[in-house]
Amino acid sequence: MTRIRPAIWVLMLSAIALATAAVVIAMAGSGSSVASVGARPAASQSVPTDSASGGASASDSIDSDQASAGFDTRTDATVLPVQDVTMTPVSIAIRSLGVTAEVGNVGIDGLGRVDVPRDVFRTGWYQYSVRPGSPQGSTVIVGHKDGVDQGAGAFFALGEAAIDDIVVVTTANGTKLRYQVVARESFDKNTVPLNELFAATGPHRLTLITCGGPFDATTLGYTDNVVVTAVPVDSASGAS
Amino acid sequence: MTQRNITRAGAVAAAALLPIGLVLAATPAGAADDATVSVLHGIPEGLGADVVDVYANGNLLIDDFTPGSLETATVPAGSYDLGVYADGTTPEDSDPVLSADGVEVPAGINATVTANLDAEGNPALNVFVNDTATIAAGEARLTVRHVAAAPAVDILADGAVLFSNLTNPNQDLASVPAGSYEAAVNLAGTDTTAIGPADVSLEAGANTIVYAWGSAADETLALAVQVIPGLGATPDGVPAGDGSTTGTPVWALGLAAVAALGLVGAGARLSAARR
Repeated sequence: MTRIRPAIWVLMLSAIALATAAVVIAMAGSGSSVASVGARPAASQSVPTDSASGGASASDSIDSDQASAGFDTRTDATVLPVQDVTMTPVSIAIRSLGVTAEVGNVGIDGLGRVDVPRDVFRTGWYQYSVRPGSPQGSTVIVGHKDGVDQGAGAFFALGEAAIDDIVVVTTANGTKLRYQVVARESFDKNTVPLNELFAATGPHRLTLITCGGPFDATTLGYTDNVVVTAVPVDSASGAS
Repeated sequence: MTQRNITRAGAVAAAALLPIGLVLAATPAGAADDATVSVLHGIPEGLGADVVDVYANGNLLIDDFTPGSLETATVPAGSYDLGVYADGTTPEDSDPVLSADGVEVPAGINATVTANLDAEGNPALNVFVNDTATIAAGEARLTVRHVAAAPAVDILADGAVLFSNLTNPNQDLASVPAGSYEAAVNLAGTDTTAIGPADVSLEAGANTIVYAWGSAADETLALAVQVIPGLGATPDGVPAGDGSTTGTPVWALGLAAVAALGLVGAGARLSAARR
């Protein structure tokens, strides 16, 4: 009886092992994209009714009432602008998704991208975007979906946000601002409309950004950005 | 330093004023033929301009304009005759107290016209182009304009000189990290503070334009601020996930590596044995 050579055993076991590993790797890499629903408010340039920044202004926002001219003028404040740090966001909650997290201030990382907090349980307000409660523009809050050594992050469930979900943002002075989800979208990172999402103009909105879609093992990151847009509750209900 | 009532000085100003050349530096945005023109009333009270009306090409532009105020209008590109009229008077029945003819406004420009005192205290009109070029993310643009009846000044931010020896009617500007600063206007080359110090927030992505206006002799020096927002560059991306729950488990990668070595090794041994 011919003894099967050890080398052939090794060959067979290796082939089985490789097939097993390949299946696991293939399954792991096939996260599905988040379907997009809803519609974001347009971020088009709007003529601001109040060009003063900060909370210390006492400007009028009415147009001058000269009918004869045909000139459309507005009055602007001329006081020194000061930061209204009382409206800096400090926490965020989306009860329907079980999301609750602290919000810190974040800026730009060494590669010109938003410096997302390394701690996946914390989220970050992009500090160069408008504060919650501003008269116009997008307040951007970002968070990791998950981390390789931390597990699911605060924004893990963002991909399941539904239209009309309520988002509550608490600011430094304890003000709670309520926003209502109007869109949940997924974009390939190469085509995400960053200019619109980070615009300082257009109707005031809350823009929550995390990652999603398939995991790309070559870049060790997700291929998509998942974006949830919410508008102040008053404006949402007023539109209906 | 003599100061003359604006009604007598008007004729002189009209003849002597030449608008600063407007260079189309801004990328036109919005309607192709429009420009944004702001007007700053920088003539202190008590000089005959406490309440004025501003006309452009004979049409009313600003009604009941008062010191320290800023008005902004969208206007068609073109050439404008600007006239400042005492309250209640019109181009039909009166001469302007201050005027500038033939001010060229190119399409897409963003500019501010100031009615202010010159260094000697005489009323004047000046035109400044506002820089609306894109500002790097996290940065703010600070523009300072000396339109006061005062000598040369230094501009300080958090105690350090940012602009030195600025004179009327000139400006200086720089890009600085966004944030709050303690601003002060000192007499040039000295520690004597003429205006301030005062806290000012320089918003990221905005051109914050600070005007030093008024009269040093009359102790009416003050700061007026115009903010042009929405100029900031967008970040290059949001890298918000390096994966774990859907990432490739390390053990699978390890198994694949060992299996590949096994295949190679076994295959080599088998092919060697055949010879």
